[in-house]
Amino acid sequence: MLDQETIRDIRKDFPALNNTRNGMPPIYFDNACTTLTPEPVIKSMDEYYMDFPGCGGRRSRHWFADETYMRIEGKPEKEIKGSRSIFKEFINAGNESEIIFTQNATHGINIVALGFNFRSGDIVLLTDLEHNSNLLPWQRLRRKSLIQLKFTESDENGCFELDKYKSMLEQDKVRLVSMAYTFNLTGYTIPAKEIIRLAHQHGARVLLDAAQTAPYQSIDVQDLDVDFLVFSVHKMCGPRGVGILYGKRELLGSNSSEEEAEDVIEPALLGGGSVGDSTYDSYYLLDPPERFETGIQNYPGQIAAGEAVKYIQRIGLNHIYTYVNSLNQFLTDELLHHFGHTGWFTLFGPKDPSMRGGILAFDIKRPNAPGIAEDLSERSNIMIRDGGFCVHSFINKQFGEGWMLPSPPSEHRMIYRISLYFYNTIEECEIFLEELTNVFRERCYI
Amino acid sequence: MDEKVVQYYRKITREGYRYSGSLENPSIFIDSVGEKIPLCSNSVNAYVRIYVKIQEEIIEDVKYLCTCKPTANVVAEIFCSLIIGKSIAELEKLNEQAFADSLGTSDEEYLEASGNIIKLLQIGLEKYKS
Repeated sequence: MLDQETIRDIRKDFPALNNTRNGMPPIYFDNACTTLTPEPVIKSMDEYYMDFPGCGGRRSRHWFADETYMRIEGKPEKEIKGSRSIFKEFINAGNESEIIFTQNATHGINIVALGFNFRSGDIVLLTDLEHNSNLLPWQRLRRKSLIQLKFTESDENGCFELDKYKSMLEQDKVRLVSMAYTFNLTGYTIPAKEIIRLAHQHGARVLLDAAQTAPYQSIDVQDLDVDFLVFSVHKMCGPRGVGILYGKRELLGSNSSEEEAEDVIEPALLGGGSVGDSTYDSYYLLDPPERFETGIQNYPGQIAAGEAVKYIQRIGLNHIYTYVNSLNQFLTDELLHHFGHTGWFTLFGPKDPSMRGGILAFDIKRPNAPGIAEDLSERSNIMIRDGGFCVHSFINKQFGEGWMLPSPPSEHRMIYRISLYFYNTIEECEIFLEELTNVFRERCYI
Repeated sequence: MDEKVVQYYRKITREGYRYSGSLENPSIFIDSVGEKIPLCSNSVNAYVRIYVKIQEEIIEDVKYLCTCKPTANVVAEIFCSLIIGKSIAELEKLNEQAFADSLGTSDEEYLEASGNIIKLLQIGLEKYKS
């Protein structure tokens, strides 16, 4: 468990935490959206732009390009590990060629959706709590009548129901299971290993959206036996605009293999960097990962992404999860103790914080419930998130469509989410509780 | 929140939101969502829909629906109280000073929302007259 002294030292690495407003330091509780960035990560991006801002990907033969290439692909003879290798080890992939740099998790899901060899009528199975990132790409394919979409239903606590899932697999010929590994609204992590085992047993491939898992929990893609997995680096102290798509090597295609697996994905985008040669009539693609990384890439971002992984690994994912969850435990207990009985304060997901990692979302059903996030930001420099959290489908089903549109004050409601990371402190949680209580008092809720 | 705004807010939460609701077949319907004019400039959660019924050039009834913070809600209530029973000519002269006088405050957030609701009213009046 991280102690207070360690946290104090860690906080010195984050310049944004010194950015006071009205004399108050920021209390940043919006980490599920994007985390803050530590100095080593920022410096690695600066270094690229200041010292060797060249093209990576073996395009150019000069030392700027070599420096860039080395930081991404490594240089074993100099014992330099590149970002790709760092990510390979981070999720225990079998091979560096299974690590594809993307813009973010959304980009990775779209690559799979657009590149998967669907046959008309194939069934794609999602949960009922998917982020728009893992809903819209499939809805588009359904609109084109290429696939059917089915959804598993969570239980009343927002937990996954394995028995119902098993029945769905037995009932329907599911081609692909695509699910959030950890829900961004509730913080609940699905039993992925069993879900994958059952899917494979029924001949379905599995894509996991690990955007909310990777920042907090160790992921072992080989142990999970997952076919595809995506996540975003900006949620784990990395730069914005960099993500990872992991795919099993045999599903990413190759120039050399004569017979390819049925479910090999084709690159959704084609162009420079992905191609070995072309004529006016033809082209051949490079092997993965290059075939999926077309066009000039976000080289400083990819370099800094590796630095971000090294940074959080120095702290330790197990320590991060335990610490963040202890803060969640404290906040959950306090909030439920003070407001749980009111009837207008409802937690989303399991009541037990140990099942919600660093995420705590609640619904306030009171007049003028919107605007509390702005109030907290303006008066106390506390940053939390409100709104639909890109899980509109689920919330619209719960609250009715248009729930955020103008209505009589008696029908007002708003969802707020606190998402914690390792640089947050118990003192920040106490200030948040005090200020939230003040807002509730000012609005005549208590 | 400004103390005067807080006092008024407490009053309406205690006594009820007098003008909350909607009207069928309003003479003027103003939708700040559609007009993309939130009542508070820094908020994506402060919208209002205003329903005005005019009879012989006089505001006979007015209602609103909103999704907003307390200050913006106070502005919506004050707005309704200021325009009911008034003539269209009087409506055209409505300004922020009337809101300031109404509560006895020049609170920035309150006056900003007042300015925005006046803008919405002007849009509604233009549509009504055209």
